[in-house]
Amino acid sequence: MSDPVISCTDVHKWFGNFEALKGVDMQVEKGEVIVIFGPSGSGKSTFIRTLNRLEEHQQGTIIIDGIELTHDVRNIAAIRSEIGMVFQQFNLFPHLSVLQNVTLAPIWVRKWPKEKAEEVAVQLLERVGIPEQAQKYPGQLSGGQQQRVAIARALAMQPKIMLFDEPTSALDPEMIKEVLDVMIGLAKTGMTMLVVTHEMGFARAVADRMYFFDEGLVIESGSPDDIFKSPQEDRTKLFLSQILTH
Amino acid sequence: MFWRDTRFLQALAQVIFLIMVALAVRWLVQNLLTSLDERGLELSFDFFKRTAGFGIGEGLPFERIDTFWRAYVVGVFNSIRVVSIGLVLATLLGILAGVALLSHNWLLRSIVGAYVEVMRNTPLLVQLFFIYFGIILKLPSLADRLIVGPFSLSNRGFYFPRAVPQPGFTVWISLTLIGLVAGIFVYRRRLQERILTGVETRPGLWSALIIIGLPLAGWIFLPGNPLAIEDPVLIGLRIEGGARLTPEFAGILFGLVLYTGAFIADIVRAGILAVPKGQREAATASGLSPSQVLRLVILPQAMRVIIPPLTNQYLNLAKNSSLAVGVGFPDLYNISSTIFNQSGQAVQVITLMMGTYLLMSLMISAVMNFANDRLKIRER
Amino acid sequence: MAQARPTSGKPPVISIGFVAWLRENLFSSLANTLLTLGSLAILYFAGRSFLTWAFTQANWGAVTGNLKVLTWGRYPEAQVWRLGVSLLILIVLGVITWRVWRGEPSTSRRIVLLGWAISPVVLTILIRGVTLPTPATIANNLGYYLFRPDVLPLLEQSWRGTSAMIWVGLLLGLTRGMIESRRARLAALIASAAALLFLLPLGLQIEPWIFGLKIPFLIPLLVNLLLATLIGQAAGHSLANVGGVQGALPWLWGLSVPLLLILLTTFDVGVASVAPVEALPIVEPNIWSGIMLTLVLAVVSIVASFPIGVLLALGRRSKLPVVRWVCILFIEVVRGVPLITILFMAQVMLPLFLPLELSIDRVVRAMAGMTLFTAAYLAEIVRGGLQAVHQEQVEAAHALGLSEILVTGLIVLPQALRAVIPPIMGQFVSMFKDTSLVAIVGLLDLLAVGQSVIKQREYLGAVREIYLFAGLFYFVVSYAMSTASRRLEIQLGVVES
Repeated sequence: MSDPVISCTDVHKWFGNFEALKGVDMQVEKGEVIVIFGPSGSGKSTFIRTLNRLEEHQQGTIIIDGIELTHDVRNIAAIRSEIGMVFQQFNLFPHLSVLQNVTLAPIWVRKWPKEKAEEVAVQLLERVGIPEQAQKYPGQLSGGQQQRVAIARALAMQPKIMLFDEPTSALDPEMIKEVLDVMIGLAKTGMTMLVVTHEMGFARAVADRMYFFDEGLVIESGSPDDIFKSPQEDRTKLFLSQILTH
Repeated sequence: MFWRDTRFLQALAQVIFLIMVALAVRWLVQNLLTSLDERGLELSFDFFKRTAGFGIGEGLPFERIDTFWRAYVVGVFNSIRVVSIGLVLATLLGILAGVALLSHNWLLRSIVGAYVEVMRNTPLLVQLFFIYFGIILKLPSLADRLIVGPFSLSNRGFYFPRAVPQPGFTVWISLTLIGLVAGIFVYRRRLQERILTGVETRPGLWSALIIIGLPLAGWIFLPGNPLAIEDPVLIGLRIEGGARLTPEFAGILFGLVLYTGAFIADIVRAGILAVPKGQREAATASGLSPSQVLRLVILPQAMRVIIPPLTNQYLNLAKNSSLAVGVGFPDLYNISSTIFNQSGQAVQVITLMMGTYLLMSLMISAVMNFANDRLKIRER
Repeated sequence: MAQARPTSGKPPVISIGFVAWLRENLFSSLANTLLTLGSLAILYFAGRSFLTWAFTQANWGAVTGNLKVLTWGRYPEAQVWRLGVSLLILIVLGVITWRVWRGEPSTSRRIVLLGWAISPVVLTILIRGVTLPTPATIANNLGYYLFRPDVLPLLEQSWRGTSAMIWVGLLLGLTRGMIESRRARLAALIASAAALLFLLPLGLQIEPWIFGLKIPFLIPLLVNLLLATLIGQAAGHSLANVGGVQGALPWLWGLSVPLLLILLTTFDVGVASVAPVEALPIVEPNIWSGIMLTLVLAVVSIVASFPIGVLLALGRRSKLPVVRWVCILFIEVVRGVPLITILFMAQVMLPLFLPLELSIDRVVRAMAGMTLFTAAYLAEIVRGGLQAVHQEQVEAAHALGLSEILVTGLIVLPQALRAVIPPIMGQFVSMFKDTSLVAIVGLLDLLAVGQSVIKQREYLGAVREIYLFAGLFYFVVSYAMSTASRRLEIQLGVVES
């Protein structure tokens, strides 16, 4: 078994006096799909944002693909180029076209020539199912289309790991499926994915492991079967009962 | 690898910036000291005690032998005069014009609209020159002045009777002030009573009685008159006595008021328009009269939108008052530049002058911010 | 059951059409009618007296007879064609920028930027004139520079040497930051060493630097070189992929040779026979007057204040406290005092802060004052725009791996600036009107020239005519600028949606 591609040991994070992460441990192998769930305020988003340094952890170790995440700018830059992120609010750049959104980072960070970047971009847009929207602006697209562009934008940097922070929470119900389909397709290609979500159907379909967060700690983890059929902790049972019956 | 640490890099960037600023400042200061040396000047404020050697047309009593400092004080006094009166008048004009802009009458709207556009698209200085040189100075000369009773208008100014305090004035004015304060008290108490009990206690009537009655009683019953009227009288080629509105003061005042009033008009209009239409509808549906709707529902909400840009216009008026130099009114800037011409002490004069304007701006901002805070809508 | 009576199907005549409009707008109530009548009366009387004055008493000759001096003041008439050409260049530049802004292909964007970058030099040469050195001049000056540097005034030479080193340092840093090939970097290093060598005559002079310590000028030169290289390198890393900049580098290095020569050897020394020649007759700025001066002041201030204002706005939001407080201090002080005091300060205090040898023209001082004033106001406007950009945009850009400079330049600034174009245009219109204040500090803009016309014996009383003309000029230009800005607003709205 090779080294885990993500290795977190005893990660703590404080916001002022408030401790948001109280010692999180997690090991992720290459190609694994991890679903993180839990009540709001439990630290799930904070946790995955520490992985690409959108948040800074104050204690503990995070090692991504063999590189340790510290204050060293070169490490940070290297890690960021291996991780792609998809946000709850899509965060597309409104003043650029869809194509420009996807090609921006490859051109300016990886320094690819424009033609190559655009070729790759068009392929990715086909992969997420909306190649015809390339010249439109984000404001002209639906929520589901925007999120798919966001996924293509993250994939354009050819990351090894993809992080998803509640990717479907801001979507109207009829558009959730199209985005989840893309994510499932991505999982099947062997991408390492960490997904914060409440979509249990997605978890059942492709997750290798699920982590239940509450109050800054991992309460329980296991395969979807374990979690759904026989949760061990009371808090896990309580949360599952709240979200699975509505 | 500390040179790649984010915290180190941030600290380094600040240090480099500080060094660059320090080097620049050092170079500037060095040049300054050399230049001052060259001209035989030094960096102290002592020269303010020297004799001014020039006269000042209006404001406080001032002779040529008074000091530079006294001249400066007169300048500040004049600026405060212009700015305080200007703010009040400009606000009044602005409110009137702003309401006119919202009138149903197309003709009124267009005329006022044209006034606003002209004011906004021409420089204040051009307007000042036009008003002062083109209108005021073209008024008839003193010999041919327009006379209405004790009032007279000419290109030397507007003369009107002055009230001169007599012995007994202090007593009377104290009485008046007591009346004012008592009147306000009575008004508020009676208003409260009416709201609480529903009985009509006529707060307005009673307070008016007190505010007017006390000074009136004082005038009638105290020995002598607290004030005497002094009429302006033409003696030879000059007018003696009375009070005078100088052409210069009139020029800068009218110019500022007309100019700033136009901007305030637009702000008032935008503020009233910003109140959602539903507010007026709901208020009218509750049975409130149009003037009550305006007073109790529309204006309070409009004020919140109006106050920030209004603050800006007040600050502009205070700063624009410095253009008084263009019409020869001896305000703060005008006198400062004369002091500089007489003494050559650029750094001190400029520092003092800019500091005074900064202080003025700060005070106006502080007052307006206080008003703004008290009007804030409390949100969840 | 009675049938409902059929109606004619059309609304009554008095509720539609012009008559209806009259009723509603002018005569809807008693108060309204009175207002209308009152307004009409005022209009009639005011209009009648104005028109009587305008057509019978006014001396319009004051304006028509002096149109030339009002427009270009004391600019020599034989050279006025240069002003026309400059205006044309500006208009063309403006039109091209407008077209590019509307979204035409991005190749023209490069031309526009290039145009704006070189236009200051071209326009200055056109309007002010230029003297070019003859071969004899070059030989003479070079000789003095290389063999008798002690004769040259040291203060003047120090800023030349410093600027030369900063230029070389920036280029060196840019090259190292942008280009990977070792040969190119070696070439750049050699070129820098050559430049340093050329500066040796300067460097070997002794000058008191800090705390009276006497050191060879070489040391400050090297410090400047180092700082400039660091800054250039940081910039180079970020700009590495801007189309065409890499190609421009060799040209810039090539340009350095004449540039350094010009910087270091254009001084006045030697006999008249080796003096430079006037390629285009020089018209010194203190001769510029009239509408021409007003326009020059406005354009220069607008163009120069924009980058400074943006930098100030960014600095004001910086996380580094030192940078932030310096910017806040500058912005608040400049915004809290009247423009006239800034202009006064520029005229009177600026010369005191400069080395004795360096004298700046009064017009240039006024430009500096207006630029700094406008930059402070622009900074506040741009700050508002920056605040309007969501933090999540910045996060998404960071997550993609973009560096701080790239995030600001590609994501934050474009959105921020777009959001505040109307207030920015408003500020520019304001500034155009504010150029009239230079009349008070002794510059001869349109207003001041007008005043001098009034003082002439034959036009002694023509005050209103002249000021009405001036007012009309400002009104027309301001109104045009405001309308253009509103059009721009609408255009942008279309593109964004």
